[in-house]
Amino acid sequence: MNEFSVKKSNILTQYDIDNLLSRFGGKTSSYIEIVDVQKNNQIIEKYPLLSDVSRSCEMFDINMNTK
Amino acid sequence: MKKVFLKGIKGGTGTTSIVANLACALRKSDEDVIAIDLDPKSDLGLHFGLSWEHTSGWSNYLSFESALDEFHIDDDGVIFLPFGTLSASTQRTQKTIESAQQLQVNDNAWLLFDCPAHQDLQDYDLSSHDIVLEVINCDAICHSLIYRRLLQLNQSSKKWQHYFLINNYNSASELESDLLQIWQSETPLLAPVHINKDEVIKESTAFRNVAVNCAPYSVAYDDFETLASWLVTRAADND
Repeated sequence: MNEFSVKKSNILTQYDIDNLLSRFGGKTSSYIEIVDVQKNNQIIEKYPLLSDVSRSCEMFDINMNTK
Repeated sequence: MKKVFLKGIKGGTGTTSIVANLACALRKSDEDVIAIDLDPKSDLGLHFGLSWEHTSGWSNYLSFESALDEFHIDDDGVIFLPFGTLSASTQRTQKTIESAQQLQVNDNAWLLFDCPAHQDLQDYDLSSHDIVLEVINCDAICHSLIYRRLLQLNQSSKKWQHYFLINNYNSASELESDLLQIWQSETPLLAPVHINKDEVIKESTAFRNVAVNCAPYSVAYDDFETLASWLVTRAADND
């Protein structure tokens, strides 16, 4: 007889969501974005052109100003 | 009227195909759609089944009013206006955009403009309600051009709703999935939908039609339907 492993999933309650928002979302945000910054940096470092653009954009702080 | 300007961030991104497919996807949701070709290539009509011999368009007439006979309607009910064979100055193009808004159609109609990649949008008189979809492909040159555009938009006093729309995304490519990952998490103004690479788009053009009609169960059909729904939501937020 096969034993199937079952991946249990947890459904967030409104209480969980409110807690996450108060911790990470700030006062006005109604959503949370989860970004793997380390993985993104690895990708950027892999490609010289992307690294070049990234370094230059840090000077202009593009992400902060336009998002 | 809801105005959407679509232009490639560089040549060959597939903007005209998107205009044609998006127009049909909106029509299928019972929206009134007028597509206007502002690109001297003048190939938008071919996607809507216009005869290859038909080369004239609004640029061949002295005024927009005298070019009204050049409006065509395709089998789905999309109204479209070809560019034609003559060149048009920026002022003339701007006049065409303004005149198109005066057309006697439903107030909720969509005006889709197929803009040439080389045209600077700063030259057009766009308002804060206008939506600009700048079409990009998942490659390093587009990455570079996106960030140049962001710098330009940061310094611009004109405020329209600008989005970058990924077209022809190939999930089997490592570079493309890497770029998508970066753009989705770090790049401002990226549209939350993208158009996947699908042979159906090219094939349907060869059949003088759009993917939305030729392959209703294709990935492309889903993508254009999602894009149309997202735009309807964006436009509703404007009202």
